[in-house]
Amino acid sequence: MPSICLYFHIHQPRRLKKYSLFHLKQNDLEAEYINDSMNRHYFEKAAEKCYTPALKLLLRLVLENYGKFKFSLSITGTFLEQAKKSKSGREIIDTLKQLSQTNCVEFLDETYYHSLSSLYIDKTEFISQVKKHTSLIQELFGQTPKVFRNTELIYSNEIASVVESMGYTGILTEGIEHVLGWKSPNYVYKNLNGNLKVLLRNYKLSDDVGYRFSAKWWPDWPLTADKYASWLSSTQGDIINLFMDFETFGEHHWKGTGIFDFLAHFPKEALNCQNLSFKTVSETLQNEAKDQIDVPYNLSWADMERDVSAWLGNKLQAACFFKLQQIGEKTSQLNNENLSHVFRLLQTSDHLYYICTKSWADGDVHKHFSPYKENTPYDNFINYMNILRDFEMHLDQKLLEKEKEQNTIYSFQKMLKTKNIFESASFSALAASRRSP
Amino acid sequence: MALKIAMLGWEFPPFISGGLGVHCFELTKALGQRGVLVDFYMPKSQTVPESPHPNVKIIPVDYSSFEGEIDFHDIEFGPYYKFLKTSRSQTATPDSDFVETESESYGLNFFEAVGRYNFLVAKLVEIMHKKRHYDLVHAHDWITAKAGISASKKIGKKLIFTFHSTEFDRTASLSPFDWILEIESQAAKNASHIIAVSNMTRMQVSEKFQVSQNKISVVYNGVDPSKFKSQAKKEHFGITGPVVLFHGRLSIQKGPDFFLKAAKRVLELKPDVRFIISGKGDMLPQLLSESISLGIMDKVTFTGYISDDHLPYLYSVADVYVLPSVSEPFGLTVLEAMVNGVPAIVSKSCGVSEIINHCLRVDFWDVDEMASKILAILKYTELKEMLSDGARAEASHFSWSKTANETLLVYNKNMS
Repeated sequence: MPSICLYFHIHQPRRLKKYSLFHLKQNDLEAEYINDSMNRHYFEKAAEKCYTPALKLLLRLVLENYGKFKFSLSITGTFLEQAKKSKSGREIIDTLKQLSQTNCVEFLDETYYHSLSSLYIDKTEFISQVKKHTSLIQELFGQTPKVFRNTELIYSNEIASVVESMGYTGILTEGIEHVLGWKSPNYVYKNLNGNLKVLLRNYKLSDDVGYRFSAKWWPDWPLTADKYASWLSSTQGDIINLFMDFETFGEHHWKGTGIFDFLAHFPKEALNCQNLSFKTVSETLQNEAKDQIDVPYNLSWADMERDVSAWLGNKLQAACFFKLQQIGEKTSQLNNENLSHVFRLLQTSDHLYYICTKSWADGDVHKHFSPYKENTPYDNFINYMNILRDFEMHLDQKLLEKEKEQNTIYSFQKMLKTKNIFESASFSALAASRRSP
Repeated sequence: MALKIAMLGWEFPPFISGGLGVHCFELTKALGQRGVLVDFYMPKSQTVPESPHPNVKIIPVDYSSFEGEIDFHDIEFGPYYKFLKTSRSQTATPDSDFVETESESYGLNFFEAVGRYNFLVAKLVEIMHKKRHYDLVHAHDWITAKAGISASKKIGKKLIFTFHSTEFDRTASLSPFDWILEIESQAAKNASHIIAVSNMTRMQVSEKFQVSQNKISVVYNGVDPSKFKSQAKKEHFGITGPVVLFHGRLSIQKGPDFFLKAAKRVLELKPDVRFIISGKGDMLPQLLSESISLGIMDKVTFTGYISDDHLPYLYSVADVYVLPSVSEPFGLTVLEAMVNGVPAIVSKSCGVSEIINHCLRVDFWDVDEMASKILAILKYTELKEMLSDGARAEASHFSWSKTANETLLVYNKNMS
């Protein structure tokens, strides 16, 4: 009797401005670096095509199949920040609130900024970004997430133990053969030597929808809800973890592919199968863990490699990532909320993703994904690094000011300690001059 | 049976002024190696260039080539030659400065020579065909186009025509000669098949001369690393500090003025950079005076003409190579720089940039962006390293063998 654990991820980055070395500086760093007119454009487009119709449909399905159709969601802070700024975005938040109130939709935690901070040597930044996300979800949806999903499902033994220490009951990651070996993703596992339960994505069944749904080369195209339900029904195991980008509905597969019809019919078709049911992540975690999984290196749900090479695969990305950590140290010394926020916006993993050059290895010329028009990964690196360097210079200046200020205070304190100023020669001279007009 | 080609060229090493000569040398050599018999026609000069392969015969052309076979006194130069003269006089405007520089590159003598050469080549190919039995005529650029069309008609063999550039490229579309455009248009229409050195040129030829894209194949140029690779280091020449290089004809097509303006911007933020402008051309006086008025004359070195054997040194001292062409069908020098692992900044209107990943692209007019990218390469070590490694690897995919194979494919397709 496998139960279906449906999980969607919602994210939009705050994309960067074209940052020339020759432009006039402004004081507002966020406005200087972040291209909010571009971001609004992408947000509105995605809202219209995907978020608004798909969330409304999901709400209808939850209400129609009340108590039987359930799913789970995680939403980045950078998405919600942008949603708050527009009318369609606020409507999306309202729909999400309604979904939350049905008790059939569970919200997960992640890093607020969709960052790779879990990979930093120092985990302080990671923990505070997750805490910031928790507060946002509590504030907007009245839920306190118990389960964690890391950016791009990045997972390792080390990350799992940090997440466990933060009090989460479970974590999501990718279920790929080179980690699982003979194990099936259709059971609950535990992290290595710990008690954090792990849910592994069934990538074959997830990608049937998330990736192959509109692929005409696929022998199983077109995929219908009843066909898919029958596949799920005949699947062995306790659970079926179907994890995908929310943008699957209307963005990755546009409306004309029939993806919305598929989604509309899927709950009924699945529930018609006697052995299938829907569970949220926490309910799914009620199952007993079959074994522990050992992941000594970084695993993710991205690309064929299922590692972090999409963000850290080349020299340029590594340089930016290193720079981010250096900047992090400086930012933390300043303890300035505004600067921390800007630093965190710069940590969004998408900025690193746009510098990925993996497709070049296959001999593809100019094939890469970037929202910055015809920019190449090289261009994106230069722009990102220009911004990081500029921000660092800004921090250095602030640190210098802070140091100067501290030095002044320190020397004054020292003077107070070592000398009684009322007995100093200059004071006596001054006092003497006052006495004798 | 071996394929026999009558190939019509204009320049051939060591007498070259650009990519056309290099292309013809490397192409005929590689074709010769593949068993193709090539008769390469070119204008006669004092010494005959050495043939690159026993299957390649260099045929220098002037009146003496005919040795009594024709009586030239009976022949007029024809309408083409007259046309040359009239269009020349049309360009002589009172704008004295302009005409002076113009006449240096496109002088009356030059046009006369082209006209005479075309007429003679067409005749000579017709005569030679009786002995050599050519399968195809292959002509390069407008400079041999008339002869190509005429020869192919006379001997009844198909014409293959290669566009290394068009008049639009060479004049940066500012003031193209209508009569040259007409020759190019005739060549495009009369050729059985056209070879373009990039897709950019293919689209341009198709659009401007109204020929079907299907009739045009793209064959990219190659590069012979052994000719450009150098082990030399900056220190050998007493140079310290970063060097940014421009190398090419100093003409409006190559955009050296944009390079100079970008140099000024770079120096505002990084004063220790040295800029080298190598090559000769009609823009030299203008560039010199501009470098003075920009106040950067002590940071810019004009090397003048650099011979082939010194070229590798030039690349070896460069940290960045910039090709800011306004319109560049291919851009062979980019490959030469890449062979040496010199990171290249290439104008978007440059054919070679359509097939390489490991370079930075700019709009030729975007001086700030060009400066910004130069600074980025000089500042960000990882960027420089990755561009450099990538460039070396990518340049190794280009070879003249490949160029010859693809040209041969065009020949074979047009044999049936």
